[in-house]
Amino acid sequence: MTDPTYREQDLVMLLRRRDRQAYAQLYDRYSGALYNIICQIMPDRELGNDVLQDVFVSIWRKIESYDESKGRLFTWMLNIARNAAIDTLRSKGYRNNKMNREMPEDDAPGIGQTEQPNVDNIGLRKMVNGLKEEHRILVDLAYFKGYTHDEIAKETGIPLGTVKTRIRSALIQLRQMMK
Amino acid sequence: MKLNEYIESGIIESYVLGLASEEERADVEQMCILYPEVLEARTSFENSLENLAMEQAIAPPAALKTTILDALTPVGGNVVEMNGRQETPVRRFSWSKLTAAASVALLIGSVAMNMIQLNKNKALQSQMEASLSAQKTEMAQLETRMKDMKRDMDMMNDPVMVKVVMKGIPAQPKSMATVYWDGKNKDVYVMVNNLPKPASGKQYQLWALVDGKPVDAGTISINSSAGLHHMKVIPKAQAFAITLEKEGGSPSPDLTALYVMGEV
Repeated sequence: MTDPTYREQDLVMLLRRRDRQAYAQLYDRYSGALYNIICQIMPDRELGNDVLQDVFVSIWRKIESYDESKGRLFTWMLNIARNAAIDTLRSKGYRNNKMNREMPEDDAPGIGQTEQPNVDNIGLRKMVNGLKEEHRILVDLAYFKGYTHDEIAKETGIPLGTVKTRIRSALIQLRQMMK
Repeated sequence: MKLNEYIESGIIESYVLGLASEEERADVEQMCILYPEVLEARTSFENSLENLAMEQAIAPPAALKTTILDALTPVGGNVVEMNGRQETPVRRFSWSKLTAAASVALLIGSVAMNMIQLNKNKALQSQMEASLSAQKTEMAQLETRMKDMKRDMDMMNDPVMVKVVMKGIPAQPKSMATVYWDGKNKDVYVMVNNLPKPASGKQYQLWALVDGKPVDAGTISINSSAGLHHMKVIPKAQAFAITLEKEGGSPSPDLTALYVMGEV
C-alpha cells in the first residue's frame, strides 16, 4: 500500500518542477475539496469558480514558498483557498453587487445565513453548526468570514480575551468531532 | 503536564486553520520542532481536516479544469475583457517574467477584477487603467524583493548551512531569531523571527561566543526589508546571541539587554 507521505513528497517535487501532469493530478485530487471550502464561504458559484481558478494559479506561482516543515500540502492549499474566498467576499465590488440580495451585514454578524442549502449542512460547516451558539457564531465569523479577533470583539461586544478562549475551545470540540 | 496543556489549548488547531497570529505561528512552529508530540498532534489534525474536506468534496464544473490548467501555461500577455454581465471579471495575467514574484501579477489581476465589478462605466475603466500602470511599477519593485526572498530561502535550505535557533531569554519569551552559518566559508546570516521594534537610537547587535568571549558579529537593521541579514564572517563559535545596543553597535555586549541566545 503506498505511504501517503511518500507520495506527497514526490508530488511536491514535481510541482516545484512545474510538471504540468502533476498539476493536473493535483487538480483531479484536490479541486473538489478546495471548491468545497470556497462554496462554504461564498454562495455565488460564478465567483466561486473564479476564486478556484485564482487558487490554482496561486498554487502554481507560489509553490516554492510551500514549506513542508510547517504542515501538509493540503493545509497550505486550503488556507490559500480560504483566504482567496474571504478576500473576494470582503471586496467592495462584491458587496455592492450583492446589496439587493440578502447578505449578512458587517454590523449584524451571524444574523441569518442565506447560503445555498446544499452547502450548509456538510463538512466543516455542518460541524460548526453543531456547536453551542456562543461558539458557533465566533467560529463562523473568524473562519468563514475572516474577521480578526479584534474585529469580532468590537462587533459582538465580547471581550477580546473571551473571544480567543472561546474560539480555541470550539476548535478543540471540532477536533473531537472530526476524529 | 505543560505539554499536554499546550496540545489541549487549541493553538495547534488554530494554526492549522489559519487563525493564528504571527506570534502564535512562530510559537507553534518552534514547539513542533522541539516536541514530537506537538508535531504529531498537528499532523493528526491536518489529516482529519483533509479527510473531512475530501469526503465532502464538491465537484467544480467540468469545463473549469481546462480553463484552469490552461491558465498555468506561460503564454504572451493576455487581457480578456467581457462586457455585458454585471459580475464578469477582467483577468489580466502579465507573463513577461515567470519568477517567484509572479504571485504579485495575480494580486494585480484580482484587484483589477474587483474594480471592474464595481461599475461598467467607461470613465471608471480608464481610471482603472491608470491605476494598473501605477501598480505595474510597484510590481517591478516587489519582484525584486521577491527575488531576494527566494535567494534567501535557497540559502537557508542549503545543506552547507548550520542553523542555530536563538530562543528568547525568560524575560523575552516571544523573541526569536535564527542564525544561518555557512559551514564552508563561515559567512553568518541572521533571520529575525520575532524581536520587538527597538527604540530610536538603539540597534540590535549579533554576537558570537568564541571560547567564552563575545565577538562582534555585526549590527542588524530591523527596518530593512531583507529577510536574511548578511553579517560578519565568524570562523569559530560555540553560541550566538543578540543584545540591544546603541545605534551603530558597541565593542562589547550589554548583557542586561540580552534578548535571544542559542548554542551551535
